[in-house]
Amino acid sequence: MISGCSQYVQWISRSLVGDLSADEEKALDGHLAACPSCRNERDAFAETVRLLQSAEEEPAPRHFFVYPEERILKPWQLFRQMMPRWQAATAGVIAVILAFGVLGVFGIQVKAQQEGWTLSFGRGGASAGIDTAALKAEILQAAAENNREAAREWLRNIQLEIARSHEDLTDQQRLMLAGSLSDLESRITGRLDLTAAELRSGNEKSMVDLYRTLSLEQQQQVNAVQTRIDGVIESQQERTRETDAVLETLLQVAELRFRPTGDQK
Amino acid sequence: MNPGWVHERSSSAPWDTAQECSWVAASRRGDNLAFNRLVLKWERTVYNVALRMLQDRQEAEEATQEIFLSAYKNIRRFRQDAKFSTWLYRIAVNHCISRNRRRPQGIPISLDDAGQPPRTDAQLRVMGNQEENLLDGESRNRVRTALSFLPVDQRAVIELKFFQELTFEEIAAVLRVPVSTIKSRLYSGLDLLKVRLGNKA
Repeated sequence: MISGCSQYVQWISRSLVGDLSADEEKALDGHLAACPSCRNERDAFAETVRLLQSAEEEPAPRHFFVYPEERILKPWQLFRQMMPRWQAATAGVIAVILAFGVLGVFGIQVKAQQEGWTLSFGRGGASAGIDTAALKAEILQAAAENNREAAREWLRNIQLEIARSHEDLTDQQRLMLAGSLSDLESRITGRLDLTAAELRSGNEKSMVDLYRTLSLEQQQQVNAVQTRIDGVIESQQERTRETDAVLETLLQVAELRFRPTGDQK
Repeated sequence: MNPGWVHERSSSAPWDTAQECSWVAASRRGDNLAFNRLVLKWERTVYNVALRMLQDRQEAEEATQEIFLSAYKNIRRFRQDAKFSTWLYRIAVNHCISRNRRRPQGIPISLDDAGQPPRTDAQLRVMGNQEENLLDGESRNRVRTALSFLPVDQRAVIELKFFQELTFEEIAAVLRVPVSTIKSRLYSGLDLLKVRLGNKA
């Protein structure tokens, strides 16, 4: 390598992360056109960067949920702490599961008592391991079907909300929202993806408000199911992988209800 | 010239941001389930950061749990004017750096799955016969081995720039050092990696 190249060599890696000015880029390109050894350097750096980018990520070996310290909470207890809209989602899905009779697979025991049903979760007596894969598939399918209706209803609500509040928005925001809406409508059954460039934080806040609006309407459904869930018997279940897996499913279902996308993480 | 790569980031859509904000707010109010929703979203990212920083699966697993536990305990200190991801990255990277420094020198770290002991930095005793390159050529292992040669400060910047795709300013916010320091660590690290990844001898 010629001694005059030393400056350009430093510029090569800076160029690869976009750290050069336009003038410096031009100068570097000019030098690279004339200097094969620097071109080799550039290729070596480019290959390094390519390898870094192409290395795949591993999946997490397990979940890393944090359970409160004072006691080990079971998913049912966490369910009761959920905010109402999540309770609505999971309650609806759990009702579906009960109807499908996944009880046996899941190890849930339903006991009839005077006030109503009680549900206990986890291994009771002689049950096999929880088939979490089957359970998850059932839950997600039921949630997905539930979800399409919810997504359409959500879209209608947004349009109503926009119409009602359009005086408060600037022209630019209105245009952006209109653009977003037409985008949403065309992808209602597929994956909904709002790009950052189209919405500003003011509109994000109104989205959050819409969450709340929708959740209030589901409060009644929550109350109905909650009377049944009251009186949950806490099992002696230790925190296990199955507990984590069910919690994960409940969390994903809760997300599905209010994030209209066909994809799961 | 712009870097050509654009991966999908887990939280690029404003929908995600709004949703994440509500989870963070709920977590700060003590909603454990909301916090676990954040865990669900970020655990794979944090685990991979730990894996690349620590070069050991079991340590990475322990570190990840500790990172989320620390985040859970300190969530009330998170001021919501900053990005949650910046705050979480800071916890994760600092935890990995201090874990790295606590390792006793000269004691071998557990084998990775290719059967080759990963080297951390040049001060550790080299074990057995080391090949410069893994024969299987799988890029993930090559990258991980190459990363093991980096001093941990440089490894952190490489991690945040190339694997998490943060800007220089964001990295400076995570590590709380000036951008110039970030850049010099990055370029030193890249030089080292270029040698390690390109060396066919």
